[in-house]
Amino acid sequence: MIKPQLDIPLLTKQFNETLILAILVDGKKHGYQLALEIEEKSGGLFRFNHGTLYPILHRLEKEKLIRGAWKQEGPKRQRKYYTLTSAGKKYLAVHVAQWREFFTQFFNIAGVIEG
Amino acid sequence: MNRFSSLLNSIHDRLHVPQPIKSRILLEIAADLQDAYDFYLERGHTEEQATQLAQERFLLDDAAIAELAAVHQPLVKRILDRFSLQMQSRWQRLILLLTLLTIVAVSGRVMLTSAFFVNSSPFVWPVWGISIAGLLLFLQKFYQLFLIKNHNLRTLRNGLGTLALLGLLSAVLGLCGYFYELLANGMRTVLPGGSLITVVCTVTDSAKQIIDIHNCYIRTSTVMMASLFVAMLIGLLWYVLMNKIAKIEMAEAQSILST
Repeated sequence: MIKPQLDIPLLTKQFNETLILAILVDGKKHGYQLALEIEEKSGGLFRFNHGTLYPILHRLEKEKLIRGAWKQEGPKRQRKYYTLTSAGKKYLAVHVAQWREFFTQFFNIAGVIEG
Repeated sequence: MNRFSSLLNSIHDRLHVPQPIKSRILLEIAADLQDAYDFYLERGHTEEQATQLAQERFLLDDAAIAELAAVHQPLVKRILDRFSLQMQSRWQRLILLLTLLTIVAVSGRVMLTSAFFVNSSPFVWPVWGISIAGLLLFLQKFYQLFLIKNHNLRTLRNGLGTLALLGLLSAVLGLCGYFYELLANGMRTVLPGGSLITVVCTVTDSAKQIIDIHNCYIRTSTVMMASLFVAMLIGLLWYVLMNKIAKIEMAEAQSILST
């Protein structure tokens, strides 16, 4: 069993990171695509202000969990695409397990109240 | 003019990171903004509505800007960049250059005399080594920026950190040499139970001690002069390069904001 290491003040940060990394499992995407897919797949529940997306993306890139690469699209347009690195995949696996554990514990309590 | 220029300009003004990184961030946001704009147009919005909706989704508040800056900028680099950007007016630059040139010329004259080297501290030689390394690095960057005009943003700032570090190293070596000389002389001069200060402050009864203290002063002076001279010279060279690079980067940023 994975020992829970979730720090409450870091929940939002880790939540956003996990969402971004999970979306990148399907392949390379640019920032706008990422935000749009997260929004669509969550039925509009997780709606990113794109402004908050860039600090997270750039931090993940600095930590080598994702890799950014520029691609020329048309004569005047350059796009930055992000891909998941092997370190990112490992990080994602650990965090998904932690979130699962977190929600299991949450529903252990919330489920009792509900029942 | 870019339809998102007001938003991009606002990010440009508030985001304090080195210009190449800033340009890349703006380029990334500009491309995503365009996608968002196209998305809203496809949904039947007018051009004005699409522009406004896209901009609303990409608002970077001060917290996001600060986080972005923190990701890209170590504290030391932020201070150095701010210093070079603050010295932007012609008069400020001229005064700074004149002050530094005067100090370099005056101390350089003293250091070029042979007497300076006769009794200098051994710490002076690594300081000269640093000065040669700094000069070579400056010449290489000068060749890149001014002669062959290779203004590739990715390599523009390469070597600048090393140059600043060499200046700092020279000053640190000078301080180490200064205290080493004081300590070494103190060991020779101070009697058991005494202190270096009492030896310096009282008239000693030994001519040899006076000569030792005199030599100690010369050695500490030489090492401090040489190290500060080299640190200032390197600082001056760094500043010249930094200004040139800032100009190139500003031109690049303007071209991103206007396309």
